[in-house]
Amino acid sequence: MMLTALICALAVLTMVVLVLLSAQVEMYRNLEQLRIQSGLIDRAVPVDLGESKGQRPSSFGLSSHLDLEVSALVLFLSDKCAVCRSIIAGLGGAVPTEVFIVIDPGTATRDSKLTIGIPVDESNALVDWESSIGRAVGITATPTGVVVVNGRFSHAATLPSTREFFAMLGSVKSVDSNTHRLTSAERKTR
Amino acid sequence: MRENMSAMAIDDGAAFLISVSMCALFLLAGTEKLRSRDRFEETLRELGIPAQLIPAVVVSLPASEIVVGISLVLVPSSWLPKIGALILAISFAIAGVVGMFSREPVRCSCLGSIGEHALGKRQLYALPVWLLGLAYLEWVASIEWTLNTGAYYVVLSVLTLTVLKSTSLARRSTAAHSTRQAMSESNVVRPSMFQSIQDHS
Repeated sequence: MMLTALICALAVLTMVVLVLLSAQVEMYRNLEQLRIQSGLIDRAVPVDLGESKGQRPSSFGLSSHLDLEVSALVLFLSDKCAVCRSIIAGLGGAVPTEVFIVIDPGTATRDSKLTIGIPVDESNALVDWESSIGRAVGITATPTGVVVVNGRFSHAATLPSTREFFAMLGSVKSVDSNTHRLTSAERKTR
Repeated sequence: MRENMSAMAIDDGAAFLISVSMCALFLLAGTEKLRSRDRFEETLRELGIPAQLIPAVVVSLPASEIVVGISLVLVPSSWLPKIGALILAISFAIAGVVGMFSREPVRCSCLGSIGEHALGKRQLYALPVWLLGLAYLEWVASIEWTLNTGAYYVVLSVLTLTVLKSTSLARRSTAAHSTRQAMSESNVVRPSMFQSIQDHS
């Protein structure tokens, strides 16, 4: 008798828990809907590259080694944007080999120091002082990632957060690991 | 002899799975409909149920789903819960047919607020599945156990649903957390920013 009562109590309790969990799931669903409606959702928006699509990165003034990459990511950052600084901080001081950074200095002059904390090394980053590269590629917002596939611009998307940046970097890396990476000797012959 | 016994064990196992699955499905449908009554009410209205009957149906249908679901496992040998399940399955199929022929698609509140499907072919196709399951329980493998064991199985069904719901909750919570974290680092102008600008000025 006691056991039956206990089982019944357990059944009722689990039912209550189920109803509460369902209510909480619905609450999260509502929250997601509200975020979507008000544009407060962390989602990369595709950017139309226009005529730049299919072009070699070097023809826009970017490093010529990008033309030889199987898969790479050109990251357009601004010296004045908070997400750009978060992305740089997320890299932990080391730029991955698949990433090339183009920094828009904004109002900073050549004499002033950039606020974005990245050592500009010619092999993986450059400062676009006249904003000519960004304009030519068709980038109007930062941060934006442009994916290079087989040495050509393939597609681009805005990167509203470090999460989206790492997702894009992951996709670039997966292509890279699935494909034979060019050796320096092969690059020279090409 | 041994072959007979193993065949019986398979039959019993299948019958157990069918009755527990039906119980879980009815319990989920019933509780979800009761929880989101507004939506279910809307569906009933769109189906053309007379307005004076809607308040009664909104509560009685989910309640009968819960009762039928529990009884299917609690007293598996009784034919009464099977008749109840059959009536419910037929009424779902009728709702599906009405939905198919209505001018505007009727939103299916089959599982309350879960899913965004319209009433139609799904409910019609589900009818033979219900019929086969119930026929199997009645004629092929008639299972029998004590009330206590039945109660254990009811708890098992509800616990399974609770675990499934928990995983869904965990997934949504993780997604919400990531979005929240991403928003905190983004440069989207938020109302609080306007407030602080106004305070400064």
